Amino acid sequence: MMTHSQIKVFVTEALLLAIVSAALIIGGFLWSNERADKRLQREYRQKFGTVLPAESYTQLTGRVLNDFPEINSVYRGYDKDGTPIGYVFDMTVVMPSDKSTKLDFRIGIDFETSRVTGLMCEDPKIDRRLKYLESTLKGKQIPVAFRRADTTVSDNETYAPVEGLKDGIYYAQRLIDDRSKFVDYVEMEVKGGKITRVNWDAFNLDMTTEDRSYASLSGAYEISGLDWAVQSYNICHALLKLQDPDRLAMKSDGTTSIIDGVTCSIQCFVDLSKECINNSREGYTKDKYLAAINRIYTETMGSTPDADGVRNKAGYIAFSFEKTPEVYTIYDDSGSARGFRTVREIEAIMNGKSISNRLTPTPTPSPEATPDPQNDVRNAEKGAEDGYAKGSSEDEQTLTDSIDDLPMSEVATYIYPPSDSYVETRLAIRAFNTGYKFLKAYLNWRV
Amino acid sequence: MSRKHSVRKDEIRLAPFIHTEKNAPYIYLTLIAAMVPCAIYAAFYYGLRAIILILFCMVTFTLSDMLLSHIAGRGGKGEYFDLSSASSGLMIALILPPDTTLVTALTAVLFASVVTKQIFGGPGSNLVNPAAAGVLFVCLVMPSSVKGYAEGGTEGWFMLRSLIFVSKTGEFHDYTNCSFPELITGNFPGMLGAACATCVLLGGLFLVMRGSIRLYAPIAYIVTLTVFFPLSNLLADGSSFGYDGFIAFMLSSGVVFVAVFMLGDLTTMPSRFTAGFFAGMVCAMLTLVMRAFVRPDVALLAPVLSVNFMSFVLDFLMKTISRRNLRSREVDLR
Repeated sequence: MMTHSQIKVFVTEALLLAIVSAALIIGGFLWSNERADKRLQREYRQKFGTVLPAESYTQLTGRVLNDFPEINSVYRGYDKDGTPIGYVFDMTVVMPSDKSTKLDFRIGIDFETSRVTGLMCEDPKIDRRLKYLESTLKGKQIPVAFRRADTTVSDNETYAPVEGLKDGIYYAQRLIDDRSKFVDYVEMEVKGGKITRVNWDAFNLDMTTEDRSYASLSGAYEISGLDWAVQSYNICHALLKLQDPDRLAMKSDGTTSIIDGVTCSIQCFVDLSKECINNSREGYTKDKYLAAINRIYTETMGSTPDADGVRNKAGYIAFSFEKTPEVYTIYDDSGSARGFRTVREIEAIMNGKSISNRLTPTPTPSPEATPDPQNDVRNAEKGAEDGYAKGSSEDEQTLTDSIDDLPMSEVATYIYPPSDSYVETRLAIRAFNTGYKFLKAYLNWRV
Repeated sequence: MSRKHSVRKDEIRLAPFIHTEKNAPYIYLTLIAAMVPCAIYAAFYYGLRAIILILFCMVTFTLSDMLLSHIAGRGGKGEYFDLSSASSGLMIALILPPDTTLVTALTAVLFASVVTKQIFGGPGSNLVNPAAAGVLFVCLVMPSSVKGYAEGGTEGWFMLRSLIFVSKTGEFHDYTNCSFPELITGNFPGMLGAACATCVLLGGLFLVMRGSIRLYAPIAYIVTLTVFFPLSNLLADGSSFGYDGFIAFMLSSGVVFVAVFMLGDLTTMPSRFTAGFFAGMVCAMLTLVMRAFVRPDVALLAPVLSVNFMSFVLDFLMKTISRRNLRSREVDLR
């Protein structure tokens, strides 16, 4: 047994040891910490430089990471001035259908625009094969999806046309402009009882401004996702295939999830297409339509469009009837607005005729005339919620698709699936989409 | 009157014929004191979670040992105050990764306590180092929960979530990029408390001063590692035969900790000079060979267990050899 003096010596020595070691640890930390930081940043630059070249990186922490088991770590990159320039994700991505298929990726996402800055696979062989994907996606916004593979609209399927269509060129335009002073119109050609050509565009009330499709391509008109012109093309292409606006599966927010690359509201397109279809059934051609709108303007405004200079180069009347809602609004007995008239209907009223076969009125709401949702006839015709489209049989019904638990409406970039290395590409896309979901949760993005 | 009388079972106690200042409690107390610098290092770099992890391992190891001793009827009458449990628990915590969860730590502790210690008869009877066995067990059986080392620093101070949830950030780093000041002060991601060579050496110095360490095996271990390190490099990448990365390996891999606290152990290492020296050499050679093929923590701890297993055989052989020329059964400590 130890004596008291021995215990005292022992305790003193142990305390001395603790004090000396604490001093050495703190001193050592101060001595080496700057070097450690530099070494760490050097390692980060070596590791992440290919996907996000930055001056320094800091690792992100937080509980939100627990919700993303595929993300190993996330770093924020900074430039020389300390301004954040992007994010780097270190991930192990697993194929949902086959848990044994997984790949390690590093991806870089731009800080401001959430565009892809780089992609790297830990496996050098696969990394070489995915170089094409990196070059395709660099500068493109996330999330990403395959152009065809993950949507329900298939080129191989054929759809029956709407009954009663008469051949000819038909046209419909909105009677009021949107916030950017664009007036939407749809032109449709019917041959052999089938819709063979559709064009959705918008001209501006300011005649010096180019049409919306050109404006979107030149960068003057920007929306989230693909350029508006591309989205317009995609939706027109889809209508040609589906032959019926109801099959576009428009949701209550005006978007659809079944068409590649279309993230904007298609409400206006669907309504104008339906008006074109009704006009076709009635043989109400584009010429008749333009003549009617010319007459409506003249009778409403008391002068001709040419005299007022509201006819644009294409021959359309670039005018908004916003200030004369009584022209196009349907009121009930209590004086509340319950729907809107089409140009053909307005002309019929002007001619003292009654309206028949009324399918879809032109959606031209104004602050003064808000229709009652329960009474609005449009509600009965609208595609059901979440991509469920009403069809004549079970086979015609289409369901909303999604990719990596993201609704297709959020997808910003579409790529064609490769003929080879499909699985690797799909996993890489999953990595980008997981990164998008993380950023959405981490930064509280509202989409 | 017959001299023969029965002895009740509860009267049997440890023989009181060895009187020395360096008894078992003293040796373990010294060992704990020697590991305090490493514990301070852990607390400084990894904060509250390190303190919790260390205390958790020490307490659970002690409780497990107490419970199992009681069940096995080895409780004694209080004449022996066992600190081996606390020292083993502390050692386990120090060689675990910093972001180890409590469940993983508990697994290591229970394996060390039950399988490597209590089954073999409790304190002083274990064949292998309990801490090395416990940590090696979780490395082999639960590799995903001890998949490397996380960075310390200010962000890690209060990351208590990592005590419950498996961390995602751990990885085995390449320390060849670390500068000498970083390596010698332990300012790099490594084991919770065994990464700082300075602290380990300080603890080793304390053990030497208190006479609680046998130096044969540690010295042989370090010398062999130094001499044969180029061979390990050759095995690892098949091309370079040299001392590239030698300093980084020696100061970052935990070999200093193994040398001081595991190979210097009085219970599990050979007691004779020749046997100890041989065991140290074998341990070093195994480490160098395994380093090229298996994960670093396994390459560090598996050789320790190997030499622990052969310690009693080595001791027996050396004793037999040294007695060849002796006429009586006198004790020989050569």
